Amino acid sequence: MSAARTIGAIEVNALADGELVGEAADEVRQAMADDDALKHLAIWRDALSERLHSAYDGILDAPIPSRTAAALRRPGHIQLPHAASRIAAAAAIAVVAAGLGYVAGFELLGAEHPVAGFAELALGAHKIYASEVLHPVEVSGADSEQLHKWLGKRLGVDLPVPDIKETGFTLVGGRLLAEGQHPAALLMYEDASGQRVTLYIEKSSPDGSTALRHASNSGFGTYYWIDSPLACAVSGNLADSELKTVAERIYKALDKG
Amino acid sequence: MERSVSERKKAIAAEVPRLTRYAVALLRDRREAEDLVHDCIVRALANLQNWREGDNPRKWLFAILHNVHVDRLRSRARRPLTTPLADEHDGIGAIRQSEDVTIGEIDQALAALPLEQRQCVLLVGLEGAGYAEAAEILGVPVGTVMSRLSRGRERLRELLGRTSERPTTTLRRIK
Repeated sequence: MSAARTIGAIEVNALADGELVGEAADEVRQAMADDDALKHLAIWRDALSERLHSAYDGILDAPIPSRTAAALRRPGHIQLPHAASRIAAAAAIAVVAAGLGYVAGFELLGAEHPVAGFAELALGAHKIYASEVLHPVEVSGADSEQLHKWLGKRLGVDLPVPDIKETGFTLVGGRLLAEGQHPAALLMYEDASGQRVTLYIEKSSPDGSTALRHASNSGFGTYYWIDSPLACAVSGNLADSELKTVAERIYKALDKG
Repeated sequence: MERSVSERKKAIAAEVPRLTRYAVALLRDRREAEDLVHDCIVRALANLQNWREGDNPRKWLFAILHNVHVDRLRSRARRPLTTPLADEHDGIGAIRQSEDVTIGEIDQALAALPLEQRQCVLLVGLEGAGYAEAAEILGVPVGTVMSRLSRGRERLRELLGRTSERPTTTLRRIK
């Protein structure tokens, strides 16, 4: 044997696992040729791999368990894991503390926060319904009290219909949406020029709260947050600052309600 | 252009079977394994922004799975334990508790390995991870993966290899 260094189980495994090339691989092959014990290590590596696959590969055919599948369908920021909810709760406390008098207490997390699942749903609903000319809403905003009762009942949560006239947007009305197995509500507002913004609402998890976040997608922007029991997103294709003003006004109105 | 959230979710969903296979082999308890994978997916969804464009979703998810598992072991360690940590899922008791466990010879042999060796044997030998990949997933140096893998395979050979070198097809169902 010409072994300049000891060739043992680690080296044989590395070769058998395809981790060695060139000279290093040749060196191990050479050592194996002279040594049955080393050869058997490589044979065992393959046999073990085969046994592992035959014991466990059946699991690959099992369907995804329903609650995991449901988690994958749910809007991303509704189901916060424990650690994240603690951070979010801390942020929410900061918002409440700073926002007692004024909503400027909003903590804005990064101007270009990646689009979360929830924001994506809200933007999708906005794009579909805000462009609707004949039937933008199911129930007209003329009777906001009825909207309040109906959507609140369907979502299973008290859902005030925010009045944001001071921003120049008046209520057009609302509609009920289905997000998978869950109901969601969409309220639509319009300004004098016909520009529309929508407020997308789902019921959130009991302890979920987040700061105000922003996401955008091909010209449409959304400001979204969770303030249990509501998860909200305000979407439109206004300038970001303008949309943020509307979102803050809505946040304030919902907070009071 | 950033990949949309639904594309990312699809890529994540596609890894669930592999994550589950690994978790079942690691914990040898289907229910525990599905719990672990579920928590892994929830954590992944909450951290979608950490998945950088071009990143391999499999490696990212296996690393999360590993971290969730470590967190679980830690939080259990804070509670009084009557069994050593490494044996958390190893006892016959844990197997009996589960009604839905299919256990074979290889399962029992894996149970005899320390967790660290089991992780390496399964990541490389079952999931086909490269050494560098396994090292990243487990957060240890490549050399550590190599020695754990080698020792783990050797121990399994002592337990299984002598009896037969062929794959087993007989599985016993324990009620």
